[in-house]
Amino acid sequence: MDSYSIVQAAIARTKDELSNDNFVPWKFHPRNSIFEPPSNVSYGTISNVAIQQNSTDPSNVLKPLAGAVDESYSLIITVNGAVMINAVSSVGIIRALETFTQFFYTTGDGNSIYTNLAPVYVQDAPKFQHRGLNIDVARSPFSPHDIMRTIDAVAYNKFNILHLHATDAQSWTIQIPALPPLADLGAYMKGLSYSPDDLAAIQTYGAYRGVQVIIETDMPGHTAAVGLSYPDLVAALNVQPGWANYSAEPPTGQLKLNDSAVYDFLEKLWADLLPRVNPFSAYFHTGGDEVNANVYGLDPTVNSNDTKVIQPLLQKLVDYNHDKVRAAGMTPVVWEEMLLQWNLTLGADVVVQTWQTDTAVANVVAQGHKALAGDANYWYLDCGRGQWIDFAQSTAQAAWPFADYCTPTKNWRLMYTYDPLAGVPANATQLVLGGEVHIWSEQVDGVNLDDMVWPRACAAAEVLWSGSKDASGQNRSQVTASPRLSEMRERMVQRGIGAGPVQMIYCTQNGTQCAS
Amino acid sequence: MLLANYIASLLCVLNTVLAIWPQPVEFEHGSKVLWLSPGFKVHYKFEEPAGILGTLQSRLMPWWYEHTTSIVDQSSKDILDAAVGRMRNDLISTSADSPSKVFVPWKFHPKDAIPEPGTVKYENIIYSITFLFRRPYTLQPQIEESYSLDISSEGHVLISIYHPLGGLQALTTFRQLFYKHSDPSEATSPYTPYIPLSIKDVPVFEHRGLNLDISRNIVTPAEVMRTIEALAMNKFNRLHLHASDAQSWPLEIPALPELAIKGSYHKDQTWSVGDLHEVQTFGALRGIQVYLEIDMPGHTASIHAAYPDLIKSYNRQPWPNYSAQPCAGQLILNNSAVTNFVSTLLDDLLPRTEPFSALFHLGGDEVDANAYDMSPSELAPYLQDFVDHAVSKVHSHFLTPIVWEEHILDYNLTLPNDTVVQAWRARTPNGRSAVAEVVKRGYKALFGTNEYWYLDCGFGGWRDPDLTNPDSPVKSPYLDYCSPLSNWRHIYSYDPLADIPESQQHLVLGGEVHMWAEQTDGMNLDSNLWPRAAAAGEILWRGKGVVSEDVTRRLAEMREWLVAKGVRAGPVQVTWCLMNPGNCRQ
Repeated sequence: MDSYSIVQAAIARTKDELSNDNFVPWKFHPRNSIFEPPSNVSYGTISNVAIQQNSTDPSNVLKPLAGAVDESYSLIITVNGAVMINAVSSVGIIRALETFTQFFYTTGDGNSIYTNLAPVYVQDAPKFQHRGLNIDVARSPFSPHDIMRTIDAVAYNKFNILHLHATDAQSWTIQIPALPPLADLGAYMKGLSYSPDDLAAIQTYGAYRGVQVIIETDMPGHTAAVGLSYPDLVAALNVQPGWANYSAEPPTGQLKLNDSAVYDFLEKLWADLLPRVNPFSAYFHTGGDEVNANVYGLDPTVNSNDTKVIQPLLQKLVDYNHDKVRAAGMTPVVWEEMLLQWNLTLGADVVVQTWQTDTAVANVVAQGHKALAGDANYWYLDCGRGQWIDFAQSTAQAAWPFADYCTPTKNWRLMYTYDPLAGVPANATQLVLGGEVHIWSEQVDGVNLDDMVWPRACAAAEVLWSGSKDASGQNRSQVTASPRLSEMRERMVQRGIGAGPVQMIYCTQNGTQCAS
Repeated sequence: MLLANYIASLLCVLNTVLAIWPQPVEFEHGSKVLWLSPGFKVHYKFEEPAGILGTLQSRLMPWWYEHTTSIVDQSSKDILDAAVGRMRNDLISTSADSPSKVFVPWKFHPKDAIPEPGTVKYENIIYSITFLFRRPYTLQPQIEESYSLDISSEGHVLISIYHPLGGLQALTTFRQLFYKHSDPSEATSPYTPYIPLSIKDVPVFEHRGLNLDISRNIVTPAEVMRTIEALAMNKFNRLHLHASDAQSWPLEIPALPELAIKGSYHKDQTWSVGDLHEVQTFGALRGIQVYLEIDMPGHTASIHAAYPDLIKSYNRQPWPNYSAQPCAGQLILNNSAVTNFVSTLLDDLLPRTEPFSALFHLGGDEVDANAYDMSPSELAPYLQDFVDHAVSKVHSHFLTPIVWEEHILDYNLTLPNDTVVQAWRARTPNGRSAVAEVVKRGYKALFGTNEYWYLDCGFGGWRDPDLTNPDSPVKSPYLDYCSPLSNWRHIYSYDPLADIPESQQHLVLGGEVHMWAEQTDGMNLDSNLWPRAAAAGEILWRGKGVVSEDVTRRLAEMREWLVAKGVRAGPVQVTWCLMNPGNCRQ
C-alpha cells in the first residue's frame, strides 16, 4: 500500500461511481421539464483527467496526526473538457475525485454522463483537520461489512476519521489473541467480534479512502464486558437491582482501580492490540467517560467513593495507558471527563474529546489542551428515539411518554447550526482539531444504521469541512444547503447507502416553494 | 355481545411468555420440543360437510360485506394452500441459496445458553396440519378472523376456523412458534419448544390499519408489498393508501390519462392499473384489504398540472394562509366541471378497487376556507354538496365511504350513517378526543391520533427558512409540528377508548397508525414503520395495553422475524438486555 496504489484505487472507484452509481437528477427540476443538454448541440468531451500531485506524500500519509497531511486540492473542468486536478497529497487527490464525481449526472436514456456546470474551478481545503464519525459497535452487533459500507459513506462526505467505540459494558468486540477469553466470552456471541484480520481489513479499507480508523477501548468505566472473562478485574459487576447508582446504563462494572492484576491485564492487552492498530492509526482512544465514583466504594482495592481517593488512582491508570499508547507510536485520545471532571494531568499531546455541554470545548482549550467538538445537544444521532430501559408498572406512569435523556431527535438543520468553535477565543481556535458526530447504538444495529446516520451526518461533515459560518460570519444558509443535501442523498442511495429523504420531491422540484 | 360471550367461553389465560406478537387472547403451552417436517402435509375438514361446503368454497371476497362481489377467483382452500406454501418457504430451508426466514434465538437467552433441543427424533415431528372449518354462526368480522390452534405432544396440529381469514391469522401465529437451530446440520427444518400448545385468539377491533402516504414521496408497489408482508405478520387487516395529495398524483386513471402523466413526480413513477391490481391482490391473499384514499377537495394541487381550471387558489402565496403545507390549491366547489371530473375519476377507479375492499376514502382533511375566500360557515353548504355527490358515487359502487373527521367536526356536514369517520386530532376545543366527538354524533369511527400514532413525527422540520420573512417559523431547534418522535412504548400506551362512553364504543371500528411521507420514501420506509407500527398492531388486536419487559421481549422477537423476512426494522432493545432478562429495569 503506497501513494500510487491509493490514487489508483481512488481513480478506479471514481470510474465505477460515475458509470454505475450515477443518477438522473429529475428530482431537482420542475416536473416534466426538459433539463438535459439538447442532443443537437456539440459539446466538449472529457477523455482525460490530468492529476498532478505537487509533493511527495509524507511517510504517515495513511495515518496522519491532525493536519499532518494536506487535504487541499484544486479542480478545473474547462468547457472543452480538459480536467486538471492538483493536490499536495494523495489524500487531496481522493478528496478532489470525490468532488469531481459530484458534478456529473446520467442522461435519462442511461447512455451518457454529463456535467452542465462547466467551466468549473474549485479551490478547496478543509476548515478542520479532524472530521469524524464515532460509531458504537459494542452495544449492538455490526458486521465488518456494515462498517466498511459506513466508511464508504464517510469518505463520500470527506470525513477523515472513523472512530470505532469498540468495547463497552455490554460487549467486547475486539479479539485479543493474547487474551482469548476476552472476546470469546465478552462478545455477544462467540464469533461476533473482530478478528485481527477483520480489524486490519477495516483499517486498510479506510486508509484507501483517506479515512483513518481510530479504535477506542473505553476504560475504566464501561468495562462490565471484561468481567465476563475476567470477573476478578471488575468491581461492582452487574449490580442488580440498583444499577442506576453505579452506572448510566446496565450492566454496571468498572476496572478495579488499584489492582496489580488489572495492570497485568492491560499490559497484555496493549502489547497485543496497539502494535496491530499502529500501522493505520496515529491515535488511540482510551475512553474515560462516565467513571462512577460509587463503584469504587465496592472495589476492595479502593474501598472508597471519595474523589480525593479515586483521583490519584485514576491518574495512575491513565498515565500508564497513555505511556503505552505513546510507546506504541500513537497519540492518546480521552473523553472530556478525565480533564474537566477528574482534573487529571494529561500530556500536552493528548486530544480531549468533548460531548457534554456547550462550554466543554472552550473549557478544554482554556487548559491548553487539544479538543474535539461534538456536543450531545447537536451531534448525537441516536437521540430522540425514546427510552430503551424497561419500566415496571409502578414506574411506567412517571416515565410516560418514555422520552430518552437527549430527546428530541437532532435533525440535520440543528446539526448544521452547530459551531465547533462556539465560545472559543480566537487565540485558541487552533487547539480545536475538529469534531465527531456520534451514533451510540442502544437502538441501532446494522439493519437501521444507514437510516440513523445518513443523511444527517452529512450536515456535520459540511460543518467540519467548511466551518459553520459563511464568509460573512453568518451561519451557513440552509436554503442553499437543503437542495445540495438532497442531491447528496440521491448519490449516496445510488452508491448503496440506505439514507432517507431530506424533503418531499415537491420541494426539490420547485426551488424555494417550501420556505416559510 | 356475541363477541363477549365468545371470549368468556374460552380458557383461562396462563401468564407465561410465549413470544407471539400480537399476543393471543388465550394460550397455554408446555415445554416439549417438536420439529416441523420439511414435507408436512395439510388436510382440510368440515364440521358440516353438506351445504356449508358450498359457502366455504365460494369466493374469498366478500369478506363480510354481502354487497361486494369478487374477482378473486379462488376458493377458501386455494387461499389457505397458498398461505401454507408461503409459510413453508419461510420456515423450511431448501438450499443454501434459499435460506429459511427463521432465526436462531440467541439474543433472547443468556450467552451460550440457548435451550436448544438435541437431534431430531422420529416421534418429535409435526407431519401435518389440519384445518377444521367450523359452522359459521355469525357474520361478525372479528369472529371471521378468530381461530384456535392446538398442537398435541404427538405432533397433531389442529386449526379451527370459521373463515379463511382466521386460517391466515392462525398460520401467522403458527409460524412464530418456530426457531432455527444453531447447528447448521439441524437447521433445515425448524423446531418449536412450546408443546403442547393451545391458543384461542380473536381480535378486539375489526379495522386494524396502516395509513401509508404514497403521494408526498415515492413509494413503489414493491415497497408496498414488502410492507403488506410485515403488516400481515403483525395481524393488521387494512392498508389505507393515501394515494393523492397536493404534491403528486401517482395513480393512473385511464379515463383521465393526463392526471398521472402530468401530476406524478415523474412519468415513470406512477401506479399503473396493473400495479394497483397486483398490490390489492397481494394484500387480499394475506388477509389485508388494500383500500384507497383520494383526498379532496383539499390536498389536490397536483390535479392542477393536468386540469388547471379545476383548482382554486393554486400555489397561492403566502401558502401558509391557504394550506397546511405547500402547494396550496383545492378543487373548486359548486362547479359542474369539477363534478364531472369527480364522477369520471370515481367511475374509473371504484370498479377496479371494489373487488378488494368494501371501503373507499374520500379524504376531506384540512379543507382551508381561506382558499375559497369564504368563512367556514359560508363554505359548509358548498362542501356538503360536494361530499354528497362523492358519497353518492361511492354508494353507487356499493362501497362504504370513509372521510376525515373535519367534515363533521369542523364543517358540521351531515353524512349517511354508514360513513366511517377517521379521527386524527388528539383534542377538540371542548377537550375530548376527536374519536369521542365522532361517536358522540353517532358515526362509526377510526382512531389513531397524531399525538400517539403518527410515525412521521419527531424527525424535525422539513421546511426551509424564508430569508425574506423576519418572522420565519423555521428556527432552532427546527422541530416539526408534532415533535417528539412517538417511540414504541408511547404508541403502545395509547388507549383509544379512554374517553369514550361504553354505550358508544361499538361505533369504534378500530384504528390506523399513520405514515405520512414528507421525510419518508422507500429507502427509510421500513425503519420508520417498524418496529413501532407493530406496537400499534398489538393494541389493535388486543385493546389497551401496559408496557412491561415481557412486551419488550416479545416485540424484540417480532423485530427479528421482520429482519429475517427482509424488512429493515431497527432494534427494540440493547442485545445485552435481551440476553439478561430483568437486568434493564427501572
